[in-house]
Amino acid sequence: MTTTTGHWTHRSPEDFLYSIAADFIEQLRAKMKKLHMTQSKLARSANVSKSYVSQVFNDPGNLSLVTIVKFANAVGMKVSLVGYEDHSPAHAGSGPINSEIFRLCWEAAGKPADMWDIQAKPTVQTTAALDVYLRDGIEWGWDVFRRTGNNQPRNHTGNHLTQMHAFQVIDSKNTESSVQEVHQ
Amino acid sequence: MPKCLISIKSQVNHTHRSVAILAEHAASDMNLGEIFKNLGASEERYYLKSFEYWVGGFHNNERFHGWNKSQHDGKYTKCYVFKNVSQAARLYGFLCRPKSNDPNYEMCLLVLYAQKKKWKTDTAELERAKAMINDPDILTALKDPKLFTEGKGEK
Repeated sequence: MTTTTGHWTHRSPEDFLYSIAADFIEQLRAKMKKLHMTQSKLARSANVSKSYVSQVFNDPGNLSLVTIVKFANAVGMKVSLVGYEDHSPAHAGSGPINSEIFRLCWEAAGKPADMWDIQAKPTVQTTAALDVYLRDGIEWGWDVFRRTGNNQPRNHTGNHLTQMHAFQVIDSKNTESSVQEVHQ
Repeated sequence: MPKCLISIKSQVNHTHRSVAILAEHAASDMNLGEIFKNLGASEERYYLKSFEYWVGGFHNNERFHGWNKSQHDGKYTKCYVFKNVSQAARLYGFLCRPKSNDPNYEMCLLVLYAQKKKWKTDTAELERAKAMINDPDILTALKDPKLFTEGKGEK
């Protein structure tokens, strides 16, 4: 493992901002696709101009927090601002963790809403969620979780079995039954 | 001046994938090094972000994709494209596995920048990208150990 240069997001705050805003826009784009929502409709729902939507989709570097909240509301998403520390040597040359990774990990952890949820069997919930992924043959989700959750290298095949949106489907009933199976 | 220079654009400390460009090639008009130097800040960030998504294992057909066996009679299964739809621009290249000691390590080597002229895939551009797969200078530069220590491989 070698490094030649720092990550491009380390060049300036503008680069960093572009990167995290682009991650949000990609999540938004995926949600809009699911809803068959056009940029015009998003503009109307968020009460901004169509040209502004087009502009920030092409260059998300100018996206403000207010606009992010407006867009999220318009498509029925919630949004969090996540601060974290990452001193892992493996991530030394990396940029910010993609917000989609945080979302996947949050869902894999059983969507905890508060500290009580975190304390309530976090390991079992996580294992159960992964069990659901594996049973459904969603190799990629496992792969992402292993890399981000446990920081283990993966045996990369070069083949991805599924689209990201597949991970948005986590059946809470299945998760519950998997929890029971783990206990047995 | 090297006959051929390959420069890694994504982070080389990723264990599974990287994106590199053919920055110079003596026998070709393909010179992505110059193209990248002249990109505007926004367009450069767009591509760097796309590279990051691909290297990180994300799917995003709006930004990049390959061609499977059922398309174009399976002629371009090694070819790959990074798209910038808003700029009607494309970066064409091919997938390769340049680390002999790590056969799972995958690189996308981009060799051609093109303005999109029509909605359908321009096979002439794919042919140009495909023709570089077995280029001897490129194959030598891909074996240069400096490619993975300094981010630049040359012949």
